[in-house]
Amino acid sequence: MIPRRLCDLVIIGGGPAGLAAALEARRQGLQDILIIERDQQLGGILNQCIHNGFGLHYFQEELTGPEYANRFVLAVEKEAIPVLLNTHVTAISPERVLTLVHPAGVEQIVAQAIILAMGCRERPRGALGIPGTRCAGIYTAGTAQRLLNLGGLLPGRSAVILGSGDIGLIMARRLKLEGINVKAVVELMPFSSGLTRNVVQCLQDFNIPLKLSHTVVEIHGTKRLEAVSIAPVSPLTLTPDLTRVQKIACDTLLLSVGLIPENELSQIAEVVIDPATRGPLVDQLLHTSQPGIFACGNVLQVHDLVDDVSFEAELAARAATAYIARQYAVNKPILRNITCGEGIRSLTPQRLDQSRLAMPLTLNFRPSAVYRGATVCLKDQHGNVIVSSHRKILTPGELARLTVTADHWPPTEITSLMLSIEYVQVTKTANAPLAKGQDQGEAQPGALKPANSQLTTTQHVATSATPSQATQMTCIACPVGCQMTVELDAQGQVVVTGNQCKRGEIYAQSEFSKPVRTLTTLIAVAGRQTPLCVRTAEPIPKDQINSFLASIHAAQITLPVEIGQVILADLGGTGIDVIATRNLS
Amino acid sequence: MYDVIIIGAGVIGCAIARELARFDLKIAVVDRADDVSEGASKANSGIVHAGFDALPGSRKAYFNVHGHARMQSWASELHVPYKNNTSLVLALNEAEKPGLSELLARGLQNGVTGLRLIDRDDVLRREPLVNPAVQGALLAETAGIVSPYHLTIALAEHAAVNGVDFYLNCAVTGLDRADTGLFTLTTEGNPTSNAFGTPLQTRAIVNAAGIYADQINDYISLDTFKISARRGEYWMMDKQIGARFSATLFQLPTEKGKGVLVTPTVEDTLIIGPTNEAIADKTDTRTTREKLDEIRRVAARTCPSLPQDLYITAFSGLRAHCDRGDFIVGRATDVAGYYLAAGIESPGLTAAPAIALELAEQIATDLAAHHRNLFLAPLAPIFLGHGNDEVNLVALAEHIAEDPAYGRIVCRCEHVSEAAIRQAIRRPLGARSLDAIKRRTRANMGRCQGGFCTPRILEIMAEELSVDVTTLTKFGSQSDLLTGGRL
Ligand SMILES: Cc1cc2nc3c(=O)[nH]c(=O)nc-3n(C[C@H](O)[C@H](O)[C@H](O)COP(=O)(O)OP(=O)(O)OC[C@H]3O[C@@H](n4cnc5c(N)ncnc54)[C@H](O)[C@@H]3O)c2cc1C
Ligand SMILES: Cc1cc2nc3c(=O)[nH]c(=O)nc-3n(C[C@H](O)[C@H](O)[C@H](O)COP(=O)(O)OP(=O)(O)OC[C@H]3O[C@@H](n4cnc5c(N)ncnc54)[C@H](O)[C@@H]3O)c2cc1C
Ligand code: SF4
Repeated sequence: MIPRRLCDLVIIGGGPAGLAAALEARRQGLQDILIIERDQQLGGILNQCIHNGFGLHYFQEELTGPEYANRFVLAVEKEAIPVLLNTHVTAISPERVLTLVHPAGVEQIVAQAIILAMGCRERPRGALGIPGTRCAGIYTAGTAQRLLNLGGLLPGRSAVILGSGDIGLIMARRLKLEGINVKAVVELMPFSSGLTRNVVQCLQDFNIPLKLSHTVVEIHGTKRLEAVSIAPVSPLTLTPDLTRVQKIACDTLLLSVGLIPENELSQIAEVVIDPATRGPLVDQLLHTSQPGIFACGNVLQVHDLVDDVSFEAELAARAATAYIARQYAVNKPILRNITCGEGIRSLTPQRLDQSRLAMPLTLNFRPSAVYRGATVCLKDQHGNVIVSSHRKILTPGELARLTVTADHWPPTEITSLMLSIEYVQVTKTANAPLAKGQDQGEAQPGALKPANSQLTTTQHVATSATPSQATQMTCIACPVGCQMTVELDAQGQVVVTGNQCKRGEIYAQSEFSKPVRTLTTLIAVAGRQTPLCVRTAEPIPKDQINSFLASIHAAQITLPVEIGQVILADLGGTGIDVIATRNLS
Repeated sequence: MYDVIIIGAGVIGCAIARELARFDLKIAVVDRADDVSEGASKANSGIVHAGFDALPGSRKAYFNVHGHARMQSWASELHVPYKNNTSLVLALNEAEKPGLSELLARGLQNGVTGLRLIDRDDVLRREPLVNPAVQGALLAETAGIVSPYHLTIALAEHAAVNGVDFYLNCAVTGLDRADTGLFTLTTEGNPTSNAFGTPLQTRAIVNAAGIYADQINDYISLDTFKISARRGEYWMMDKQIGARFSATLFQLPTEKGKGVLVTPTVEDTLIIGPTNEAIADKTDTRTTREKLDEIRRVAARTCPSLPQDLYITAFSGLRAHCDRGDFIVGRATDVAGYYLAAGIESPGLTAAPAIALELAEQIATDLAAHHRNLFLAPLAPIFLGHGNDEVNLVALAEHIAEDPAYGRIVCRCEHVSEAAIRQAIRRPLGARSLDAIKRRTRANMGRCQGGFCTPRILEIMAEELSVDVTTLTKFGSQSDLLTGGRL
């Protein structure tokens, strides 16, 4: 007999989604909560994301992945929420019976409610069908990240990265900082699917070429990778031009070609999956098609920012807690479909529970191309606009949002909704007042046409500032990515042009006079497999990264090390410390 | 000094070794690769052909039908995944229908049972995803599928358990026959293999070297033939789609061979392919853009609705096509003590049991060998603990109670435990490379293709083999995984 027990709320996955959900459920007063995690530690993918860029929204502070996770882990420990580590959920029945496998045996748990927070996995090479040999040296970016950041192992000596999503960009810098020659980042689309910030800080800072509208067409090397062939692609059909193939010698190819929500378990539970997000179909309470099963985080849809994952998880936890308290029985759900119209690749929630219009609805959506100066519209079955919002830019690289509040809903019955992107003559809308200077450019009334990216095929790196000469730079403060020109006028004042808003000017001024970066890297620890990950407590001058790197790498570590502990004080006389971003004992 | 040395540890060499191990002979198998089954035997369609395809009267037809007859019992004895999934040759228009009757007639001539023509409705009832334009099909009730590398590995293990020595990483580069009748092998390869020091010598030699059988033959025989490599490329698709097929679906064969097929595998994935292309370089197991596109195009004739987003991987295998057009199996015509199993292209996998039985019989007779008193049974398979019903879960719980490592899942797509991976390394002819682990456990083979589990598997391998993790390879020498070393 397989032992069985009961539990109110079971959360599958101890990444940021699972942790935030557990904490919120506890804040809502729920006692009987269990987090199940297959890894030997909590934190999910964040444990291997040693770079900074997490927590700006949730904590108003820029943290590395392990630091962000650690805050939640400490809170979970403080709340004494039970956690099962090294435990794999192998099945869930539609009746919410979970089967668990762990080193102590097999057990089953009957849950009142389940929150799916299993994260996502990376798309492998085969899914792309890159022809060529099947040699060693081809890894997904996440695997390489794990090998390097958690195992201290360098996959190769020279690398090409396919895919310019955030993971690809981050790994380009990571490899470079650890001494690997990164020859190029190759991107199929005419734009990077990662954050502009990452294009600038991970590639341009390190002179790593970004080959837009290119792809890897062949893999060479019988045993270990020897080279890859790349070719330009037609931006319209995305088919490679095989007459213009270029061979790049390298011993490593990293693939960063998309993430796929990890829903095999959900499917065992017969949860309906949306082919567009590849995550469960949910209503605005993140309730899946199976009663009592909720979903949040990367298992629901791939997020760019962990902060959004945490917020989303809290919503799921509130809904699950209400479900357990039988508050659901009060009104029966009346579900209406929200479908993707023109320009929308995917969205969540895909269903609206009409009995709950009182609570605000936030639609998360991914556009199917880059749109500048377009309007996002949510319409009812008659084509009446319920809410619309003008946007400077929408790109597939960033999950966008549209919020609908109770007063937006019409008094009439809604039978279906559709979200779309349109180019309309923008009259003033309540939601998005037009920024000055907007409504020019590619915005064309009536015609829906993806805007061409302004980036050229090979992005050139901003040349460093010399007073007499104009410097080009891309603003990283928002996704619009204005191309700005910075120069000194006769009075020696810094003049910025090309920016669309004040933030651009501020950024340009500081980049021009004294560009700074937070440096994150690894230090090998004698006798330990896992290296110590560290960061500078404050941003340091960009041009000194290389000289500081050597002294950081040379630091002698005595264990145990606590997160936040100073590893190197006053780095090179800057007054800035290098601190540990993980506990290591 | 051996009684028999078999060159080539593919399905043919390993089957011969296993059958010979029943006799009181000292036997060795040598292979240049780092694991058994690294040649054609790891990359083929895995079809246990019913036998209607081969030319009546040919050696292919004979060994196909007789091999087929034994495959099911071999697979069950060796705990190898096998399914009697049946096959259909489809007539996709009216004009193709006569072709089915021809095949049926040929099959009957070859002695194949369970063959009949079925109509369109029956086809679509069996396989709803088949092109609705289908006009009928030849059903082969006895056709099956088997995991080719599992079969090869299981045969090798069974041989090893019964005393057969394996020399891996050991390429045969020369072969001499002394007047005494004794053969001496020249070998090259990994200096740590036992073959070094004293040269390998044997009373009888078997050439089961796949695409290189002609080269081995040239070392010793004047009765020459030529083996050319014909590459077959494939796509593999996710279980989600594989599980929706049951039978193997052929199109009508052409002069170029059996054409592109669509078949579920014993693991429920779907494979489509192979192509058929003569290539000059026998190491060239690339996949190519043209052929991968071609497969999708041609397979769409069989199933127009194959999804475009469920491809997991592409691979290819090389057929050992002999200029004599048929299998060469048996005693060499000009050299006593030299035996051949050459030109074993499709349906070589199916034929393996029959080829092995015939050769073992001949060799044992010629060497005046006797059956051993003690012949050990095959090892129990690696416990994978799959299945979510009570019986499977209880079995899993029992294993975990014995060894908690069964409860630590390493490969999340295929639910492979740490214990299974350790087993794969510890068994006879244990895995030494990542690909070898993969073939024995399916870890790394699921939808993520090793994205999650590779780092952990490498750790376990380093621990089990007492080597530094940076020395590990994907498939043996020079296929190093971590060329950058440590931080
Ligand atoms: C390389 C990379 C760089 C990133 N960079 C940034 C950045 O700079 N800034 C930012 O804000 N965001 C970034 N992100 C995004 C952010 O990290 C993710 O959105 C977030 O981690 C997703 O959280 P999650 O909890 O949904 O998934 P995960 O973190 O993936 O957690 C899922 C957990 O579930 C567990 N699990 C899965 N299946 C099972 C099962 N069957 N049984 C038990 N447990 C299971 C897994 O082991 C895992 O621990 C990055 C992501 C990656 C991959
Ligand atoms: C694309 C394709 C599809 C096929 N589909 C089917 C099918 O569906 N059904 C079926 O029944 N059959 C099929 N076959 C045929 C079947 O796969 C082969 O007949 C069978 O695997 C041959 O086994 P083997 O042991 O002779 O060759 P291999 O598996 O190639 O083994 C030969 C071994 O010899 C070793 N070797 C070579 N030279 C030397 C040397 N000098 N020194 C040391 N070692 C050496 C090699 O390393 C290799 O391991 C297919 C074949 C291909 C290529
Ligand atoms: S200048 Fe303003 S609008 Fe332009 S990219 Fe920077 S922040 Fe965005």
